[in-house]
Amino acid sequence: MSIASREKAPAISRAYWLCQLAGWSALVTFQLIILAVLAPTAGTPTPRLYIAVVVLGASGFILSHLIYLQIRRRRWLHIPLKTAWPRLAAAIALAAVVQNAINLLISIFLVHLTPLRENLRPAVRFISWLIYVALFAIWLMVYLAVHEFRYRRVAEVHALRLELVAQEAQLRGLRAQLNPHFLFNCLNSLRELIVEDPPRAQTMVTQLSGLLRYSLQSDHLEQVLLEDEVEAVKDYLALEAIRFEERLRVRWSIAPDAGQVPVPPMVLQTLVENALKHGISRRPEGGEISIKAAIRNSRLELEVVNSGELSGHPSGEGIGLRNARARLQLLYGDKAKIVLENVNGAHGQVRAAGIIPVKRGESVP
Amino acid sequence: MKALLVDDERLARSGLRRLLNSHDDVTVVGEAANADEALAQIRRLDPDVVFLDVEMPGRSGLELLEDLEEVPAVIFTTAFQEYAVRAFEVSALDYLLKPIAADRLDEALDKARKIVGPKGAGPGRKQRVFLREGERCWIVAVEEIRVLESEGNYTRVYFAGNRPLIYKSLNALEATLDPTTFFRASRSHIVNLRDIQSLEPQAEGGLVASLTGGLKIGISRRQARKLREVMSL
Repeated sequence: MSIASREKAPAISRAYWLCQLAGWSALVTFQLIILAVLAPTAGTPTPRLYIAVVVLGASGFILSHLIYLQIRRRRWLHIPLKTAWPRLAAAIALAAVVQNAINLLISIFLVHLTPLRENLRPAVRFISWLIYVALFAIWLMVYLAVHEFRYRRVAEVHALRLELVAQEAQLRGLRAQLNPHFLFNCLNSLRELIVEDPPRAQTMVTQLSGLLRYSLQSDHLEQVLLEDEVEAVKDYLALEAIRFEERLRVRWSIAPDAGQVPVPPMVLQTLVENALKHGISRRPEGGEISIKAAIRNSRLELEVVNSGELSGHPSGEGIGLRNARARLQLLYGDKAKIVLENVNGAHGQVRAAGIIPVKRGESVP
Repeated sequence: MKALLVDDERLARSGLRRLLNSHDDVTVVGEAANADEALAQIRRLDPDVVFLDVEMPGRSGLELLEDLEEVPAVIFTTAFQEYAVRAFEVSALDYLLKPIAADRLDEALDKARKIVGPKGAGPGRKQRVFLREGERCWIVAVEEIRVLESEGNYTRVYFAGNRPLIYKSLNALEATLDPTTFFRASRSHIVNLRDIQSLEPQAEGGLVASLTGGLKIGISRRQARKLREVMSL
């Protein structure tokens, strides 16, 4: 099991080694400086003391590294706090005992500063142990602080990346595609038209190609120029006109500057398709559809008006329109919207309006 | 066989008509562009087989079938296979994907011939009804129905292991059923007389009918008297 957990653990980071090395050598350097300042006045044999300081620093380095390895191997930072604390405390206490023993050995064999009896006094050993406990506790706190900080950063980045992936997936799901019913109905009509009216069938193939090419090419794009979308919608309406025959009349009014505005692909198409599906096709006498685009107050205003009347229940809105709305919300936030309403006139009309911000602001990647 | 073509696209109808031209035993008696037209045509022309586009503007092909007391053999046509059509696979005669392939049409017509019989509409023709519960649909030969059970404004229909709850009242359904086959057992039940295997007299003068498939239906005293007359017990 320990092998498995070791395999899972990532390599020890360079940052850890740097901190560890810097920390302990800073401590040793600090002690050496103090010694260099104080030793001449105290008249002690300094070289041996210097060695003692370095050896104790090295043993501190090794012992704290052993604690670190235990923390990693036994995943003490990933188990409940209640069970982790006693283990961390025990590790510190044990490391302090070892460090204390090394200190004693050095005092006996290297530095003969104080008599052996004085060194073996329990009170002296206890205080020395306490100092080492404090030392390793400080080491642990620094380690935990750094670890927590790094972990949070990583978690934050991870969360951000997740959000981005989710948004992308959402956009992909909402992407409007050519309605398969429409496509196969077209092919069905086309097959008959080949017999009935070959020149018209040829035109139909051209238009269907244009629409299919647009649909395939714009599929992976976030935005397309409105004029390209308009061309595709023209092809689409020409194909629908074969189905509706004389029941469908179309009026266009696209302002010249509006054509250069980038829009999400298939948004205008969705509005027009909706107008046909829920408006014109339900009227045996057919009707007119009018499509307008203009820039006002640095917003692109798309408008599709068709003969008909909104059915009372909201389900009449259709999945295409709901998807388009969600797509705009994801891309532009509250700056874009789609409204659908009845227009009171001499004849019943339904107006679908889409508003899209023109400037490539921060919200448009 | 008399065939009716229902599709909102003229080109789709004329395409199908062209395909059917090569089948001598099939006569296209009419065309309809929407559900209302189709309903009138079915009632007037009494076709043996209806080619029905599932997705039409306005009322769908399925809603049309629900309005019929008697459903002709139906072959669905659809541009794209969807759940609604797949649900049908079990009980619909057949469904064809547009553009319709000639050999698939042959298969569907073979199935239709088996159901309609060689002489077209004759005494052998079975009455079929369309049943819908939520997303699931069935076209059922009426004689396969064992019991109809009233549940408020709804009726539960028992047939061949299924028991969908239909949004039609038992009284409304009774009016469309052949009284020599279907018997009103009580206020809440209609039973198929051919499915009764045994009758057990009850103390109050009623009867309990045991049906094939293990169903037991109580028959009220008043109706029990009628049943004895009908079956001359």
